Amino acid sequence: MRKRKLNDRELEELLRQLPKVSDPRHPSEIYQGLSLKKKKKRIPVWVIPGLATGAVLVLLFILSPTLTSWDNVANNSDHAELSVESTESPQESSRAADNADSNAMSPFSTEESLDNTIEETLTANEYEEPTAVYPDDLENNQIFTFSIPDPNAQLIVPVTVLVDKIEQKTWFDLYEETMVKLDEEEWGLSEYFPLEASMSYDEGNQSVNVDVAANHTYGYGSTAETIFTSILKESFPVEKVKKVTFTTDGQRGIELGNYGTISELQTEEGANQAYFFFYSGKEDRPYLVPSAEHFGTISEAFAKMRVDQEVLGLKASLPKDLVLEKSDGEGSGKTLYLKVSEDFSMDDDFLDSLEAIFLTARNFGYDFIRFENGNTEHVGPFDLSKELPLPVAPNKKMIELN
Amino acid sequence: MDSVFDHLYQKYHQDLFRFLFYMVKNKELAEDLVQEVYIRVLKAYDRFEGNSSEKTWLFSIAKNVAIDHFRKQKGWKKWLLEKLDFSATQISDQLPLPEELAQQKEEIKLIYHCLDRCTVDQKMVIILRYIHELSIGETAEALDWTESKVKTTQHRAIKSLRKMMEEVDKEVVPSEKTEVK
Repeated sequence: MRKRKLNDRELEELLRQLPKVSDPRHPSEIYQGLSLKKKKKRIPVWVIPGLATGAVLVLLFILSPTLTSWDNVANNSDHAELSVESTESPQESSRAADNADSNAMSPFSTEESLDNTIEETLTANEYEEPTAVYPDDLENNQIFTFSIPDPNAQLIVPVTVLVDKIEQKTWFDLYEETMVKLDEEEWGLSEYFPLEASMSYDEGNQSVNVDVAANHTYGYGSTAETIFTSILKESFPVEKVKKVTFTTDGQRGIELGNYGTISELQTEEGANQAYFFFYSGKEDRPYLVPSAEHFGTISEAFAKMRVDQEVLGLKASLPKDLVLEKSDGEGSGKTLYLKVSEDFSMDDDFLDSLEAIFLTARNFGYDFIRFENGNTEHVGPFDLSKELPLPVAPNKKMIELN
Repeated sequence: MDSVFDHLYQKYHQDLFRFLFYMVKNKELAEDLVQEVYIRVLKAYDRFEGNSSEKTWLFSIAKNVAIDHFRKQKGWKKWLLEKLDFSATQISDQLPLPEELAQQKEEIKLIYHCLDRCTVDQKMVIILRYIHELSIGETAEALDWTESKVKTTQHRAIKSLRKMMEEVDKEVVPSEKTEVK
């Protein structure tokens, strides 16, 4: 047994004797390995985690609108702006309050209730926007309803254009500017505006004069004439334009084939018509188009709305199993009270049909609607437990004038 | 071949290799690490300002390469623990002894084994001071330490090395005895 104790100096001496281990490789071999390694260019350490983080961010960005309830809150406030409630608190906030209540009552202790809440907020956000124009829309916008023929020139679709109100301009200036900007083909309809005519407004007589060139094409064939006159009757705001007068190169009257020469038309506001669906093929949502037929009572109109109008290519706007009954409620007579059959429940997909009911009611002269004994509370943004203001015009489109 | 590489190889290659070998005690690994040293050196050679000697500059890079290697190998947590706790050093290698060492006398082999029980800092000082025979000043420059830190680390290293050798001697001797018989 070696019991020899090393002193520091001896130890240091031993350390110095450690062999001079050497690298037997030839320098060229090392250099080659070196250039190989250099070429391989190692990917910096952060690249892979960086890419992963990027992917996560992208996914979050895509998924977050459906995952966060904050987004719902934001959207709900949007809907509240569009909301048809004018006097009472917006229905959306009441709905949000309902949600909050139910949340408070069922704490997030079980996963199920959490899921339900998420589902609720999701569906609350999923409905489509209404397509009609409501009284609230008029606050900041000027509206013009243009009658535009469908691509087959079989029917006329009223399209209501919202433009920003501009104080310095008269309604007629805005009207003419808007007419130029209509994007009929983009909307799945036929190109018709602007008219090939010069127009002027006479405020005193509440009339618009349309001056066409001698070689105008509006009298070529009966369809062209019919469409032309129908469109002119319905494309001006009735409260401002009572009649349309015609001149040809400054001379009174316009030659319209079968109609002969006509010099003026009375404008019309549709009345007692039923609204049907028209699918242009270009958009998913239907246009709501009034029938050519005028009805004696609104119940007759509702009954007809359950049937397709095949000749014109209009589709039924109400489901067959929905029975609507007008009931005599109290009030000014400007409110339509409707009884909905008990077994029928409406969901958010019913929104287009609901607006067909609204527009038909407006066409029959009502200003408000109230549903009775229906078992549906909400359709889209509408709270059916309350009296709702009716839309002022169908088929909303937004246009930026500048 | 790169003239810079050629110059470095001629002058310092075996030194760098030896340093790395004693740090990691594995020839293949030392070969890889010395490549890494060249890569770093060639990248930074233009920026070498000559504030220190070329040799100590190269050793400082080799030191960094070795430390980076330990970090990668052990994971930074373990490495940090070891840095903080000097007593936690453990022999982990059962690597075969290179030829050059196998031929040495028992005491040298023993000291070679015990080197592993030193901390990384102690090991570096021992290698630079005794194997490469750098001065205290050069060692301080290469390790980027103060001279007094080199001195104290060296002192501690020798002390613990001697202690360890005595302990290991006791443990190893019975088995060696049987071998001797």
